[in-house]
Amino acid sequence: MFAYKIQENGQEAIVMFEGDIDIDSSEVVEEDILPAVSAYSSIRLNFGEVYFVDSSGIGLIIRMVDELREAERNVRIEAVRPEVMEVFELLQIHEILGEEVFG
Amino acid sequence: MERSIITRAKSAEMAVEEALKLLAVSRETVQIEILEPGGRGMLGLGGKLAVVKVVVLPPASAAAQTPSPSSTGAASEAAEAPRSGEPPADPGAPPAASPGFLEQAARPAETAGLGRDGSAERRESASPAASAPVSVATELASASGTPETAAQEASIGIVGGRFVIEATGGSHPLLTPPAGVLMYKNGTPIEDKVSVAPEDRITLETRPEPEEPVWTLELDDKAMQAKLQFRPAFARTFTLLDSEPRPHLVVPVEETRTPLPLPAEAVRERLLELGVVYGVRGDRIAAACASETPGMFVVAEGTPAVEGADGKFELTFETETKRLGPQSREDGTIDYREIIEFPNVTEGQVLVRTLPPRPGRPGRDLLDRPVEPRAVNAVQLMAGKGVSVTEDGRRAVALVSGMPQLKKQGIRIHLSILPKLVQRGDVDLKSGNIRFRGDVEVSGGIQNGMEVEAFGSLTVKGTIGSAAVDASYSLTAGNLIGAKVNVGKGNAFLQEIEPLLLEIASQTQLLQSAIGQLGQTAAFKLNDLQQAGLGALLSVLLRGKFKSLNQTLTQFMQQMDKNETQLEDEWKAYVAELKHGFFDARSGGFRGPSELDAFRRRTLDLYGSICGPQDRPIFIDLQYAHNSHIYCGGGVRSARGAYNTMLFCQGILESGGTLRGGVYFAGRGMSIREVGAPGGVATKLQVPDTAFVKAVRVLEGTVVQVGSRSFQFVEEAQNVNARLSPSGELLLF
Repeated sequence: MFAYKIQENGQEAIVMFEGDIDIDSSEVVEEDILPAVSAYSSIRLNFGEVYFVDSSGIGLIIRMVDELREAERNVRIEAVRPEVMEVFELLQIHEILGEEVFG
Repeated sequence: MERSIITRAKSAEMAVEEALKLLAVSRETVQIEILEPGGRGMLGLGGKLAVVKVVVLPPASAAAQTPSPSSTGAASEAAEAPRSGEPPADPGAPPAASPGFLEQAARPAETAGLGRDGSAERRESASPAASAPVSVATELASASGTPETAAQEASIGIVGGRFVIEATGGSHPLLTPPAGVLMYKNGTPIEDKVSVAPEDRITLETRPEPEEPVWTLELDDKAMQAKLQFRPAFARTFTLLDSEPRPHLVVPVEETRTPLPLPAEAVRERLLELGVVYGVRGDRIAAACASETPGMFVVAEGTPAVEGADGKFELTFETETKRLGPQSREDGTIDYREIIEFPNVTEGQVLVRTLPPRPGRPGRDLLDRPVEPRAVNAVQLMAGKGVSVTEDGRRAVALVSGMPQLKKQGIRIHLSILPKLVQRGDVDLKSGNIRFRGDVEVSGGIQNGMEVEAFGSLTVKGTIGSAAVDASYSLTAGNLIGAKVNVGKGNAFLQEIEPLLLEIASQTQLLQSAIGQLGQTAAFKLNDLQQAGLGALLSVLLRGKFKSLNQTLTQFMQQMDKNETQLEDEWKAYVAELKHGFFDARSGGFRGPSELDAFRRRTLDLYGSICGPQDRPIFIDLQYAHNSHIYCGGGVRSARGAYNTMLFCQGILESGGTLRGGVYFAGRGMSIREVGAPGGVATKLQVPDTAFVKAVRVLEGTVVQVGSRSFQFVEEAQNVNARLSPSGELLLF
C-alpha cells in the first residue's frame, strides 16, 4: 500500500508518504509527485508513515532527491522511522545524498 | 556399665517406645527416667518435647527388679509425677522418678563392675543401619584383673581395646585424643588433653564416618564421549591399639578405610537423563564404580565417523625445470649452453589421471544420532590452452606439444600447455619480429633492431645484437651485444589486473555479507530482489558503501577495453558478466545472491589462473654481455662476465669472468670472479642492506655499495666479502 499527501506552506511543499516505498511506488512518485512538487523551491519528504522499503524504493528515493536537487530545489528527508533508518545506514544513504538532506 | 539411651518425642510414652525400639529390648529389662516431661507450649504453641532416659538393667538386677511396676505404668506414673507432686525447686534437676530407678541411676560404677558387657553409648541420631557399635569402656582397676599395673604412679594404658586407668591420691593420668578422631569422656567429646580418673568412662567414636562420593558425568561437545569424574567414597573407622600404661597417653588408633562403591545404577540413570542411548560401556561403568582411586573414566563412547579421502591425481610428466651442470662434450670441451632442461609433453599425451574420492562412513554419537564424515571432493580438472579434459572429467590430454603448466588451487587443477615456436636461423628482417604466446627457441641469433617477445621461455643459441628481448620466464642466450633484455617482468597487463581481480573478489564477498545483513533488517523487503534481481540494490551499494568496489570495477573494465585484442574468450566472457551484473540496472543485474557468489568464485579462478604459484623459475643464463641493459626478475648467470652493462636482477648475480665497467645490482647478493678495470673505467656493484658482495678479485676504482653504505677501492684487493654488520657498518673482509 502506498499513498501520499502534499501539504503546501508558501514556497515549501511537504510530501507525507504513507505505506511502503517499493518497486510498486515508482510510477506514482515519478509521474505524480515529482511534477507536483517541482514548482516549490523547498521540498520536505516526510517518511513518518513509511514502514518498509525495498531496494527499488531506495533507488527511487535517491533518484527523487537527485532530480530535485538538479533542478536546484532544496530537499530534506525527515521523520524516518528507526527501522527504516537502519536500512538507510546499512546502505550509507547519508553518504550518497549528503548529511544535509537529513538535517 | 550400662546400656542407656536418651530419646526425645512428643510425649514421654512415645519417647520410651522409641528408646525400646532402638535398644531392641523389652520394657521389663529397663529403667526409665523422665528427664523432661514435655507438654504444650504457651498458648498451645511450640510444644516442648518429652525427654526420657532408658537404662538397660544388667540381667541380675533386672531379675532382682521383678516384679517391677509394669513399664507402661512406670512411664505414665513418671509422666504424671511432676504435675501431681510439687514442682522441682531446681529446673535443671531431673524430675522425680521411682525410688528404684534413682537408686539404679546413682550407682553406675557398681553396675559397670558387675556387667562386663560394657555400655553402649548410642546417640539418638545413630542410624539403625550403621554397623553395631563396639563397646569400649573404662574399667575399674579392681575389676580389670591386672593388679601389676596398680603401681604408685598414675597411668593410663590400653589392654585388649580397653582403657586401664590408675590414679594415685596426688596425680591423675593425662590423655590426648588422636587427631581427627572423636573421643568421649563420660559422654562428652574430648577436645584436647584431659586428665582422667579411674571412674571416668572413656569411649572412642567407632561409628564409621562416611565420606560422600563426588562424581560428575559430562558429555563432550560432540556427544561422542561421556566422562565420569569420580572421587570414591570411604568409610573411616578407628579402633584402639593396645598401649603400655603411661602417665600421659596419646591414644593410639588404627584407621580402616573401606571404599564405598558408587552404585552403577546411579551412573546409568544419569546417562539416560543426559540422553545417552548409544555406546554405553557397562564394563567401564563397573570398573569406574569399583575404583578406589579418583579419576576420569570414559563410560560411554560413540562411534566416530570413518573419514574418507579426497580424490587424487597423478601426473605423467615432470613438472620441474631441471638445471643441469655444464656438460662435457665428447671432444673434452665444456658446453655451457645445454644446461637447462624444460619439461615437455607431446601432442595426445595424457597429462593427468585422477583417482576418484573415497567417501567416509558415518558413525554414531551417544545420543544415537549419525555423525557424518567430512565431505570428500573429487579433483576437478580445468582445461586451459592446449589441453582437453575427457568427458568423464577423469583425464586431461595435451592437444599440442609444448611445455605443460600446472596450477593447483585446492581441489582444482588448472592445466595448460605453452606451445613452442622454433625459429630456424636468425631473427632478422626476413623472419620479422617474434611475439609468441609460449616458448620460443631461436637456433641462430637476434639481429640489431629486432624485437622478440616470448610469453614463456626464450632460448637463443647465437648472439643477441642491439635488439629488444622480452621473456616471461627465462632467457638462455649466448652473447648480448647492446641488447635490451627484460625477463620475468611478466605481462604488464596481467600484472596490472592481478591486484584488481583480488580486490574485486574480496569486495564482492563483503558485498554478499552486506546484502545478507540487509535481509535481516525488519524494514527491508526482499521480494523485489527476487522479481527484478540485485541490480537496483547493487547500484545503491556501489554509490554508497561500496564506492571503492565501483572504482575497482571501472578501472578493471578500462584495462580490459585497452587490451581487448589480446584477451582470450574466457576473459571476454568475464567482462561481459561483470558489466551485466553490476552496471546493467535495466536488465536487473545479478539475479540473486547465488549468482553474485558464482561471480566471486569465477573472479578467484581467473585470479588463480594468472597468479598461482610460479611453476617455472625466472632466470637469465648467458655467456657474455656487452653494452647491454638487462632486467631479470630472478637470478642471472654470466659465464664470462660483462662489459659496460647495466644489470638489475632480483635474485643472485653470478659472474664467471670479469665485470668491467657498468652498474650491477642484485637483490639477493652477488658472487663474482673479478670486477673493475685497470684503466679505471667506473664499475659499481650494488646490493640491498641484507645481501652481500663476494668477489675473488676487486680492481682499484671499483665501488661496492651495500644498502646505503659504499666504498671505493683505491687499490686492488683479493677475496672481498662485503656485507653490513648488525650495527650498519660496512664490513669488507
